[in-house]
Amino acid sequence: MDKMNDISRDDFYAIEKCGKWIDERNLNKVCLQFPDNLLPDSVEIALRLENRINKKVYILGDTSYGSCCVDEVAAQHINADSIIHFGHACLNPTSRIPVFHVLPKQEIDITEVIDKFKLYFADQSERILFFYDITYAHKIENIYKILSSVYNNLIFTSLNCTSNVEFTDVIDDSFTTILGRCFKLDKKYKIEDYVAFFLGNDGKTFTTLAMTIPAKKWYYFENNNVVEYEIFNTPWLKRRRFLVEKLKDAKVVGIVIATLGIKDYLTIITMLKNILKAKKKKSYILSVGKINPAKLANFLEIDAFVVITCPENEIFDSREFLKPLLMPYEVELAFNSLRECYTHYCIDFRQILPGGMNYVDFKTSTDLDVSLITGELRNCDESIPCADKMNALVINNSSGIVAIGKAGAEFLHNRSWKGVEQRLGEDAIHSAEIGRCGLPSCYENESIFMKKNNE
Amino acid sequence: MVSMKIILPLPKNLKTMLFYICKISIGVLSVHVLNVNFTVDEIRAMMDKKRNIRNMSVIAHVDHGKSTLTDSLVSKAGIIAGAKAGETRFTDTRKDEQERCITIKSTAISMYFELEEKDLVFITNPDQRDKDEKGFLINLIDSPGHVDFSSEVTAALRVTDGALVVVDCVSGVCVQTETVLRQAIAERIKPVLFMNKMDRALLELQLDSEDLYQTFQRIVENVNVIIATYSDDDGPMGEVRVDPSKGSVGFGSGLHGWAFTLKQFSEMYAEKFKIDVVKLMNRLWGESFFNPKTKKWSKQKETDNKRSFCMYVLDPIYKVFDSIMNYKKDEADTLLQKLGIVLKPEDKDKDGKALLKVVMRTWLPAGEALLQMIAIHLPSPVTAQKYRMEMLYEGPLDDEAAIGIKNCDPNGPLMMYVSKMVPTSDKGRFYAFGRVFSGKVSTGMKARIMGPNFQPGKKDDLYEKAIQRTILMMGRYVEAIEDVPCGNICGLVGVDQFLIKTGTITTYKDAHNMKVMKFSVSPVVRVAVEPKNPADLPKLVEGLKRLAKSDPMVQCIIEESGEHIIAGAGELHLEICLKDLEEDHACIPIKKSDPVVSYRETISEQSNQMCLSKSPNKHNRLFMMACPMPDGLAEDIDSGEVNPRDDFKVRARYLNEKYDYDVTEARKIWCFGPDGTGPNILVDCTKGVQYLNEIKDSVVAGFQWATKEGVLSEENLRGVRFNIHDVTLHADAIHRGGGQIIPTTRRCLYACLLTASPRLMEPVYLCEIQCPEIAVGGIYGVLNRRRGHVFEEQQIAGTPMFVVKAYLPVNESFGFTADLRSNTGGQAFPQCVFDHWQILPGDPMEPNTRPYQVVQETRKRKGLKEGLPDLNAYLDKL
Repeated sequence: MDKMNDISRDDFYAIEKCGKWIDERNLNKVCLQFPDNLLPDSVEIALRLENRINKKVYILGDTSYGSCCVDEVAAQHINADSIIHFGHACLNPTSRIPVFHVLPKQEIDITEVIDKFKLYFADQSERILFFYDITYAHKIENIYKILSSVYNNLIFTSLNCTSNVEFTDVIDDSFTTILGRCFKLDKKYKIEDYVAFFLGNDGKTFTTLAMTIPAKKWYYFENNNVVEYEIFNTPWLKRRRFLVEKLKDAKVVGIVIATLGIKDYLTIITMLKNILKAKKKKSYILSVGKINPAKLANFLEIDAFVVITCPENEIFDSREFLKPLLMPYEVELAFNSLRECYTHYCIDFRQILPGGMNYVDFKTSTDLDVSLITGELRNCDESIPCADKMNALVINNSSGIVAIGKAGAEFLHNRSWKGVEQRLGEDAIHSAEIGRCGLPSCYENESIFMKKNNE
Repeated sequence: MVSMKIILPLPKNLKTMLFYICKISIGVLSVHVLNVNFTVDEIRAMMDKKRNIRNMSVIAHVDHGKSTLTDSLVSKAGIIAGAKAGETRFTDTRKDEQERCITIKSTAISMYFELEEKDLVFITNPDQRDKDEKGFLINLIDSPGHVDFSSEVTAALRVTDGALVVVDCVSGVCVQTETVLRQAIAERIKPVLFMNKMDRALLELQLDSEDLYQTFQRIVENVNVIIATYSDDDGPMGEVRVDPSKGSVGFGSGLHGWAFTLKQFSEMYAEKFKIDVVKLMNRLWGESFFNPKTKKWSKQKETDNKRSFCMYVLDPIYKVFDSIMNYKKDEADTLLQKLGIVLKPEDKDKDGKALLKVVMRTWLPAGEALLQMIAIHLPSPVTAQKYRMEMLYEGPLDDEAAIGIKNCDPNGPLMMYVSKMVPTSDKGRFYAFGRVFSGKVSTGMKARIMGPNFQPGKKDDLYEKAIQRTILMMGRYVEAIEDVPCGNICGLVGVDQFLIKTGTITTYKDAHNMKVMKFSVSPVVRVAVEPKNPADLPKLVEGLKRLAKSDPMVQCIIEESGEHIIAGAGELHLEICLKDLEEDHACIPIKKSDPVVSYRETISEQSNQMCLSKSPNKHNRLFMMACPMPDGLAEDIDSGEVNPRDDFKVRARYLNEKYDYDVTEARKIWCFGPDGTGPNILVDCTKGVQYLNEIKDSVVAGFQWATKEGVLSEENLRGVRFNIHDVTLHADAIHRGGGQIIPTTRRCLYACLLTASPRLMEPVYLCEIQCPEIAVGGIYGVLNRRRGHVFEEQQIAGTPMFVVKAYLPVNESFGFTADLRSNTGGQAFPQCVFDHWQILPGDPMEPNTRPYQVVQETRKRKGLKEGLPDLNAYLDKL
């Protein structure tokens, strides 16, 4: 990139288009959001853009969550009225301010794609949904022109964003929008009647789409070949099943907010809280910024975390976390007896909200159930008094004994160290000693380090 | 449901060679032949006469003829409630099928039997009989003999007080005989012995009478040695050993339907000799000889005297056999007359074996002898519960519940132990089958249902619910009954939702649990199952939950990888479970993986360096090392000999004496893991570390995590001791919270493991194989190919049979039975039971070794990154 000349760089970052977009809307405070790998270029881009529009622009340095998500909150710190997002994007809809995406462009051999596609899908009347990676969005128009003349029932999806490439933002209420992709199906057919093709390799974006959209079959394009995707029984799906089982066993659940940008995130929190309350699980809402194992391990008593985040977030695949991390959809899967579909996954939580494509009413299952992890009974807390509020004491009707809500006191009771204890007379008496000094990362008189220094 | 014969699918390779014809009774209780008609009210009246009840199980090695013997008992005295009698169907099974039969589920039968006045005098203990009652209610549970199903035996033993130990007098005492007998004694179940298959000894082996006596004598001794090892004569049960001269040993042939104890013969001769029956019984066994010429008894063998047992007991039998089998018609007729045997007209034309059976059956009916033995020698609930209470009850031995059990008091608080769940015709619902030990259980009563995790004063695993119905379970017949008093076995409707497999039902609010059963087998063989059609997954899950309920030992779990696993004791057990799952519980087509075993991760040396890991903020440092536990400690932890609830001082002394652990260190065992009880320990070896007590909970959490998911392939750890040598903590509490310490502990423990020559462990079976001498060579060949090694080989005295004992890795045992049979011409039959864990030879960190392969396969299955874990990811530099 360093060797890129100014013109190609202008084109790469679509400075002209950005300028035009700003001018059209007469925006005054524009933020530029870069993924970490593009940050080195950020200053130069900002300067060029300032030259173009004669206004000050701001660079958002460290994004709060994933760099694929638009960081509205950071932008609000300076009361910005728009954001220009560079690099890979998950295209989750935002609610607060207008966003302009500068999508990366990757070259692809169009004729090769079209040939292989025609070879694989010999039946020209087959109903096909055509998806593509955002890096190929700039080529889509050409592909569309050629293929749509051949196939009668081919539907091209468009990207739900305003961006530097054409053919992306066709929005109209009759379109279905999932994971930033819009399409409009023939009225007579359902999505299950279509096969789906994804121009791009078997990456996070593809698997998220394939898991979420219940097309008849999924294909992706890798190494110049069309490959069919096996949705059932992938190791990933099986692992998720185990985690859902863990969630069913959990008594205390943490709802971790790892997005402040995606539309409807407050609605999903309320929904999760209500589900957990109906199942008599204690829930806590946590916001810890960017999630890492150390932060979540501080909550030892929480048995499982539900993370509200961008569908493309990688943390769901990490094994470094002490307690399982789950998606909002999985909470429904675990506790909503009306939801029985195991075959597709709504990784995008907006699908399970009222009005979403996969919304079902909530009905808690009351049957006693056996855990497949511990082999014990669960869902059986009806006789245990449950405090509605954290600080409430509950009177047990039968015995008149005051009980403290499930969490809290009992956990503290089971800890070996409970805080400040007097331990009067329990410890031997010592004369005063010289304490430690130096920096915590290496105390000067730490025994092991002293040994090392002596050697 | 009635018991039925079906042909089971077996592992493919076995199928061509043999058919197991298995008797599966889907209900626990199966009434075979029912010829005594009772009304429910009459049965209920019997239940109140607690002194006249005998609850007993029939236990034996596989193929020693339990079920056949049971059949002959039932034909004498089986009970069915009057109203249902018309519907009774005789089980129309053929004899040859029965001979190859394997019982899978224990089946219970109730019998009614009356003793004659002359026999009643043998019962001297007032607790063994109501004064004016001659009738006895005998609840018999026939249990499977194959090791794979020994959890069924355990469940049967718990609800009974006595055991009929059946031994094939040709094969003698076998491994499973010993196992079940040991278990019976440990549960304080009084045994009586029955020598089965005498017909084979006479017809096939043609043993002469002295040799046969010696064989009997040896079996009695063997049995008594086992009994003596696990109990004392002056123990709470009183004299436990079996003694033919007391009548607690029976002889006969279940197949031919005849049996006797010395009491029967003694009664025949008592008048002739003018000796008291009891005294004569003593003379008919052991070193007691009679000289027919001088008419004198002697204690020694002399030239012209003969052993009384041979002369008076065996000789007449031999004569009958000889005359009938060799078609000596006249001789036979005289004999029959002499013995007072009158044949029915339709039997008169028979000859050979058929006639022999009829004659023997008429002369020495098996039912009579056995039922007498049972009624006289096995304890009533009143007798048994006196000494069993302390073994059965976890709570204080003087609380109301304990006293109720001890006195078998129908007016005491209800105490009932549910030992297993029996599927009903209503899919997914179960009857809870168990024994009332105290009080009465009745329809509609409100009771506390306590699962195995219940602890007094806490609410876990506790439900207060009404008992929907109390039922009498007689085979496929289920009869509602108003209530059932203590000392009886019954079923409950409506508590199955609140119990997994077993539990305690009580009305006493301070009651503790009845002790959980301990199984002699472990679920070490596993298969992964998935539905053929992915959309059927919810049905599969539902089916697995039902399966888990219906079998006392099977484990149905979902693994970290998300695979659904069924774990059982052996291949046969799994085969049956899978069949049940597919046909009864899930009712969907299922795909199953090949059987696999689970491995354990361990280490073979001490860590080669002090391992340091820094917390994410770099401000906390942990220094630890790992070393292997001494041999035997992991097993001690498994068995509970060393456990987290012990007083730490007592435990430290034990560890110091037995394993030479430093006492001060042994006192500072922070915890066991995984799950707080597993066979790995974390020891605090630090001196004067500031704030150490504050991070203990976090370190323990990290330890539990790391021992549950080991570094190589996320399998459980086993036999590892971790020492914390030094800890440096940030002075400010906020910087040394759980978030900093827990992941760091895990990393540090992983580094300890990787620097301590990690190894894999695999489960190993103890395998006992019986075969004739010529087949021994074939056994060695098969065992060698399968990494097995023989550690004992001996001839069974008095028989041409050999017993070979070997250790065989479970992983190599799949298809072993079939392989063995094909290499020995079908003459060798193995019994495998999990014995111990053993290191799988080879370094898992070296590519091309077997452990490396196993690690990689496991990682792949679990969706982990392939390759080896990198030490640098866990170890930090100073």
